[in-house]
Amino acid sequence: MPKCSPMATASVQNELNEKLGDACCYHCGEHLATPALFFSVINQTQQPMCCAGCKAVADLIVESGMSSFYSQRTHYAETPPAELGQNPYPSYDLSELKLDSDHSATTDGQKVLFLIGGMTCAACSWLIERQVLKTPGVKTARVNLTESTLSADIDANTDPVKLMQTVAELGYRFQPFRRSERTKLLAQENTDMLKRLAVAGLGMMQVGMFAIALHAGELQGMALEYQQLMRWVSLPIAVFVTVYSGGRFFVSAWSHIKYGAVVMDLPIAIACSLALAASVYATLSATGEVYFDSVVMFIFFLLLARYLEHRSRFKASLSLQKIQDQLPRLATRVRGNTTEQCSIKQLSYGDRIRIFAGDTIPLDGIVVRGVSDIDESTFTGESVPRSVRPDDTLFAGTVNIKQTLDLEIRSEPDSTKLKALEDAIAYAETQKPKVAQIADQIAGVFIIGILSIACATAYYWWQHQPEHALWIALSVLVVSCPCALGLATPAALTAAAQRLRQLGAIIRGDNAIERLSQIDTVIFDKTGTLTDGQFECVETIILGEQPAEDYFALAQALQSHSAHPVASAFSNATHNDPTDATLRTAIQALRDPSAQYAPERNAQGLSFEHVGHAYLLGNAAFLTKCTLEGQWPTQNLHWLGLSIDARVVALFGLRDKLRPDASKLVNDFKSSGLRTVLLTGDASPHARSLALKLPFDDAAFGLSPQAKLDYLSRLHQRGHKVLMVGDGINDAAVLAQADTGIAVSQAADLARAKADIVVTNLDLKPIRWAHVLARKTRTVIKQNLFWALSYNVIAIPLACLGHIPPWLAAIGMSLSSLIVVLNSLRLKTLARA
Amino acid sequence: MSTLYFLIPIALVFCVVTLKLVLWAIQSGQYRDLDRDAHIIFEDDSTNPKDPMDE
Repeated sequence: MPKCSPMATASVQNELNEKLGDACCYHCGEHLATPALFFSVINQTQQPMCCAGCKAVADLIVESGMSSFYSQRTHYAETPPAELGQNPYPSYDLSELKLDSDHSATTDGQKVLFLIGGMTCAACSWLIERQVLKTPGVKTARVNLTESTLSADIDANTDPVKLMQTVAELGYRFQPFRRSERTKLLAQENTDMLKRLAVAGLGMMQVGMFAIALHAGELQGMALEYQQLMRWVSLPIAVFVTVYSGGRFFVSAWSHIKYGAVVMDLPIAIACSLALAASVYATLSATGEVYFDSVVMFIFFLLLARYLEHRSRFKASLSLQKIQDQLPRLATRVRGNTTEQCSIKQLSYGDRIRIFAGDTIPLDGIVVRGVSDIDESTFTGESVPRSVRPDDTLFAGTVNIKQTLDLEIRSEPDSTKLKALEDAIAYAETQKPKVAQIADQIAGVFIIGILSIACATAYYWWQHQPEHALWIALSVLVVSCPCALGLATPAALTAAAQRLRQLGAIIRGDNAIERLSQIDTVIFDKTGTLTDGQFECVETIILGEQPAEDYFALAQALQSHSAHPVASAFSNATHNDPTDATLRTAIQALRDPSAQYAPERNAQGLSFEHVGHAYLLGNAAFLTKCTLEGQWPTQNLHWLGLSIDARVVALFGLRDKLRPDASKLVNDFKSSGLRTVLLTGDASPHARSLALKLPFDDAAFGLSPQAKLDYLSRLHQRGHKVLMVGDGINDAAVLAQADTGIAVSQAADLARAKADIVVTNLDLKPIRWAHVLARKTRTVIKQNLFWALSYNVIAIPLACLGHIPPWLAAIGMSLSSLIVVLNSLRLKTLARA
Repeated sequence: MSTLYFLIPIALVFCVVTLKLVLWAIQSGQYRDLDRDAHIIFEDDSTNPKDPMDE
């Protein structure tokens, strides 16, 4: 669904849209396809809302007397999550908070720091501050929009968790925050750069003033005594600025030369020192020209450009990604005969937890029940899984890929897993995209070329007009700008990644965007991807002697060991004990966490043996050896059969729903000229009827993970570039092999780990946006490279001919980098088209 | 023109004072959030439209 484009004011935009017969949600700007079902009264006007979440937030804002938020905002708010009413932070207590954030006790209270996700403009920060200040016990609250943080002073006995709930009610994501060492370092660097910039700026004003006097004096005739005065005053200022503000260029140029690398700082350092030395000589000998103003201006403009670039990178590094990755992950704790969901932080040494297939192991521990395979590729790089059985040790961060295991925790709940994940992300960030690598190589060659051209130019002018030789050579050194070349790609990719994060998807590694822009085929998984992954049992056929509830309870007990989406159909079964003894013991065995029983699982179903009886639950292909009275039903449902001792006793007809935006997604891809393919493990008639509703160019049913891979490699052989959209463990291999993999929200950990892009919203829209954004990014990169090249091709010959004075050259160089950055920043405002 | 020998040093003293002030402001973190502070001037609570029935 498209969002309304960035607005002049929300009300104007809304009026416009209503005239066009196309209304927007007043809160988040979502287009309303149907007449609005929800309304809120804001500033005495009834405004349409797209969902209950938006209405709840808008009503809260109005009730708190903060409706001027709507007149002051410059961007629409994020769409709040649908389950807004629930408290998303039940699992934090104060001690964990102290561990997780820069929490400190002050003389009369405590100081806490939080990271906030979902702030779109300055009005959001105002809204959050007001709301937090209303909470009893809060003394000060201050939002830093650049860092997306809130720092608050609160009473010693006020619970900071309350603050988190307050902000969550407004539809923002919220989390305790600890500044990492890297962030602190970046903040320190930010301060240093600002200081250098300030010194260069003030110095530029002073030296510029004297330079104007000197130039005017040349025209009007100025006594040598006063000329020398101006020069002598300029000299110490220029030297101070060069050393204090420009020192970095010399240090960086020198440290790169030591390793044989040539960077842009080298020509800069040469130009600065040449110009400064010539000016100092001219001052001491009272002859020639001085270039103090050029040197200082040059340094100022360079620092300005670098500061702006640093600022946009600084913002990106305070990644909101963290807020997604570090949200308290849940684990299933086993206590006696029951299981409960709890935050990983609440687990301690000796607790038992259940790890379903596809889950990441949260803490180090030993297996107490079950047999499975473990993918340890995150640690060892070894792709062959390790088989484990009771008493084997498992490590945090590895992934259970086959069957349910029970684990006893043998490590303190420190951040082993997060450490591994952070390392993985850091690794992805260091991978430079190919285009950027090439640009870096070109830049190196380019700089050597520039140095030679500058020497040749200086030599030529020295032969003909020696008085011009120095400043023309300086101009050549300064005007050339490999920075623009070097920035062209990373600037665009960073901006795109940031925008995509706002739109609800996280990119792992920069290469993903580049590859996504080139795809020509999209493969969709069905269950959990195009459908919402929630099954419901709509038909039950009983062929055995026991009542339906008892068979259902058995199916539920079997499926409780499975993470397959089908299991969701049985999750709400009753826990009553069947009268039949065989059934009862089987169910008890399955529910008993201390016993060593767990069903065997494969793609088609579950099998379980207990005291001589064999229990099978699966589709028709899985139950071929079992006798069935009558035929499998032909109704368009996903049918599962339950068999006891090779006799089918019950059939369950399941149905999964298409996600509301699935058909639009497939249609959009189709209409932008891509091949759309459906590959599903589901062979039921239901899957076929579902596939017919959507415009697929090709569809294959009942595929095993290997068959999906084969299909993909056939596409690759024909030279297709493929995007895979999936969610399950069975898609993980295809996600990794495809040119680009996108894992939808709620995907299994393994699928998330193998995907290049992970959707964090609950819907499918970000997939389409990611593709549009990737294509747009490619265009922007091309524009950037074209601009950087043509600027240099035009500017360098002009400088060689002596048409560009050094100060203009400095501006030109800085501007050409700035234009690249600004062009890239256009991606950040890309509408949700 | 000889006043220049007197006036330029005075100007330089002012310059140094300004520089000190700017550096102090940067160091004390006043430039840490450039996005937010640009909008603070618009955040006037008295403009809050309130329902007259509430008063």
